[in-house]
Amino acid sequence: MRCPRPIIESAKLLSSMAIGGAITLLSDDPATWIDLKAWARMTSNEVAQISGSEFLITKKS
Amino acid sequence: MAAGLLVDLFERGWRDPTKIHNQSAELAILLNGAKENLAKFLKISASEIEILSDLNLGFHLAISGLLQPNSILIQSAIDRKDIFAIARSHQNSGGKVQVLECDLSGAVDYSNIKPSAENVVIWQSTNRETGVKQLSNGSISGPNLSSAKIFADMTSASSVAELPENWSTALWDATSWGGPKGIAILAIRQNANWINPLPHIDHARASNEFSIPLFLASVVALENSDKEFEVNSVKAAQLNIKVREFVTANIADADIAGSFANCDPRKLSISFLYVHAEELLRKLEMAGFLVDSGSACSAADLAPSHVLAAMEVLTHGNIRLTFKPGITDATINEFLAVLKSEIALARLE
Repeated sequence: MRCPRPIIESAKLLSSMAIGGAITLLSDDPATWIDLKAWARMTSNEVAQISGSEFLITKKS
Repeated sequence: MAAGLLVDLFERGWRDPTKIHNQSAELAILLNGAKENLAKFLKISASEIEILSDLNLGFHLAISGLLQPNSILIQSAIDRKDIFAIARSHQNSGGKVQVLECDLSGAVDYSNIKPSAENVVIWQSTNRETGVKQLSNGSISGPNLSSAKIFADMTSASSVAELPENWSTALWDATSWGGPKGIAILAIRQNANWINPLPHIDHARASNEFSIPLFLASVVALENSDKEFEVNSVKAAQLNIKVREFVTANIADADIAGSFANCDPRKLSISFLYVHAEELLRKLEMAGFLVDSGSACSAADLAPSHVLAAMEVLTHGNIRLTFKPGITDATINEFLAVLKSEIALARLE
């Protein structure tokens, strides 16, 4: 799926989790890592890049 | 006014100003007068000006003419793609390139540059997408830049934007002051260490192939822009602040590129979380508002804006606004109401 779907779906999944919960996102969309970092800043959550197309998203708020 | 003049100029501008006929001589006088006028507004010497019909060519002449094989080309991550292309070409020829990062506000850090007379530094007056301005204060901030060659990218600057003190070459786009597309102004400073990078026989710096009517109209546009600058600037600032404040207060999860204090008020770039830019642009167009976008989902090449990416600002759901002269408060109020409504609907899907 293309932007912004990966972030939309990840945010939906995260919203049902407790703080500290984490998901792994697989996405080859070139905008994903750029936008995940911005999303994390805007929503006070945490993201890390595990590999080129694999990202760890942790709920912090 | 420039548009009306253009018709008259096209009727008069078919002659060759280099010929000896009276009518050609009249045109040559008109042309020289326009060049002197242009030089006065840009605060440079008329002899430093070359008029081009191709902006991309202007970047090549301005930058490649300063580069030597051992030059480090020092650019920023928010430079125009034309500059990235020149940098790639320089690297392919064995040259070195250094890319300076910017912070979240879009300010480029020039402090980590090696002093050298061979190096070429790219300085961007105003960013075309976000309107972020780099500080000049008479010269680029950072140590030892007086020994480097500076290319000043003025292509998106306002008509009153100043060159850095220690510029070597500079480039303007007439559209940035409301002039017609197809006219670029290249300036090569007297005594700049510049060599024509194109094949050439004589000392000509450029081909001199440009539309005389378009050039004359662009100078008239610059005169008008300068006269009306104060009024238009104040109005653009009011509208820019209105949009920033409305979005901050009424639309959640919005990322605004650059602060009002460091931006050209004519431009505003905002990204909305969880919104598909192409669909938003379509909805806005149906409501009568034409806006641009820097999102990958609205780009032909499916790549997000490298400028937003460099600033680490959200790239999806992006809209770019330009506050042109004549836009009213009523229009902006209507636009904001539609924007708020469409984003709310988009986020429900």
